[in-house]
Amino acid sequence: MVEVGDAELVRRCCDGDRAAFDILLRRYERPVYNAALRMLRNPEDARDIAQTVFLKVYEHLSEYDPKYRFYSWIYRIAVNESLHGLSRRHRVEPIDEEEPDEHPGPDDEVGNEQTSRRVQSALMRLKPEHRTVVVLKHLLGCSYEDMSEILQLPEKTVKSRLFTARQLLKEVLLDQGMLRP
Amino acid sequence: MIEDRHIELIHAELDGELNSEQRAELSRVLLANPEARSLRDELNRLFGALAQLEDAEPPRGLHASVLDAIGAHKGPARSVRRSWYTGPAFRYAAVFLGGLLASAILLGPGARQAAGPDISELVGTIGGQHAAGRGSPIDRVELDLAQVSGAVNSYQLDGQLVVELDLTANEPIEVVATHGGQTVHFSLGSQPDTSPERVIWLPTGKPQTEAAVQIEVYGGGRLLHRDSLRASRGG
Repeated sequence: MVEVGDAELVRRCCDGDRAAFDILLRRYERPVYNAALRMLRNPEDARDIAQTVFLKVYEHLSEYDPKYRFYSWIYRIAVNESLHGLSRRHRVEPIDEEEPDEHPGPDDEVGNEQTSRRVQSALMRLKPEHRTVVVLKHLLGCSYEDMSEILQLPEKTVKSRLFTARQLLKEVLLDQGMLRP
Repeated sequence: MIEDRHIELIHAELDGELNSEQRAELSRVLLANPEARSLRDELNRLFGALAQLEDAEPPRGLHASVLDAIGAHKGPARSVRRSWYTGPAFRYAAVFLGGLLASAILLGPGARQAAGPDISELVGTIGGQHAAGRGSPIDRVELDLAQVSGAVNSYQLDGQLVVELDLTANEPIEVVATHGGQTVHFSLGSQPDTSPERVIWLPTGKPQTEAAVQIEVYGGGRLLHRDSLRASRGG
């Protein structure tokens, strides 16, 4: 069966076809939720962000410009909402410092779940702008061009930010004993 | 020593962004430079660690809650936000009414405003309508930051203090306005475009002429700018 493209689904949504939006929601629910989760770490916040993203997408579908890829558009909204969520959270709470693991060690000595938690913890030590590019690249699988479109930054800036983010993340993971020097 | 260009090639290789010519160039670099090989190994290990981030299952009920929420809408082409743009007269009236409503509901006597809810949707975000009819502003704060530019104005309209934000945010920001013990939060810049957003706040009660309107702008988790506006010409 041929999968209906995003642009066609958007067109149908704008014509009042709710089922088309349901398909878009199923298609993007997982990446949007996971992006928010990796940006904020808290599952409840991520859920709220994901819900807000889809409501904004629905509300603004008629403003979507099909010359851009739909996923770039929805990921941009997801990134902005996540950054906004972080901004709001940091204003009302002290910066969330992850408690260190009790038994840090090389990643082959711990389970996947714990490794995942420790990588997430390292990710949270990055500035939001650096975390964003890591999430876009490593979680959502975006290309440099996609990231440039999503962040509305020149590709050169995106690459520089990504390389810096990786360097910083590498240092944190080395410090935590998660990576071998 | 690794040249910046070679570092870029190593990242690009792991990102799957090399063409055949660049791949050949990188092969030569890796053969000749042990530091380059070491960097690639380190990055490979980092990629491996990042691959351990587990893909979480979205919470049950998210899908249904989104569908429920959009059930309240008539459809994307006739969204609530768009209806604010239907005409200047309606726009002004709607914003004025929205501000009063927000003030009455959220900022009325007895309400606790220190960490008030985000009322930007309720007050309304409009464009293209100046604060015509209010005369010249009592005070004006101009912002020219990388994250946001524009101005915040204060007016008096028949004894009512009016605070108008006329800002263009390049990234998500939050503006916190405080006057006479009342605080409101405006979220701007969360839309994909970077068009100007105009928001009006009408604090409740008699204007506290002796008290200035405090404005704080937050972005990326930090305070970007703090300023104050006079609430009356004599103040």
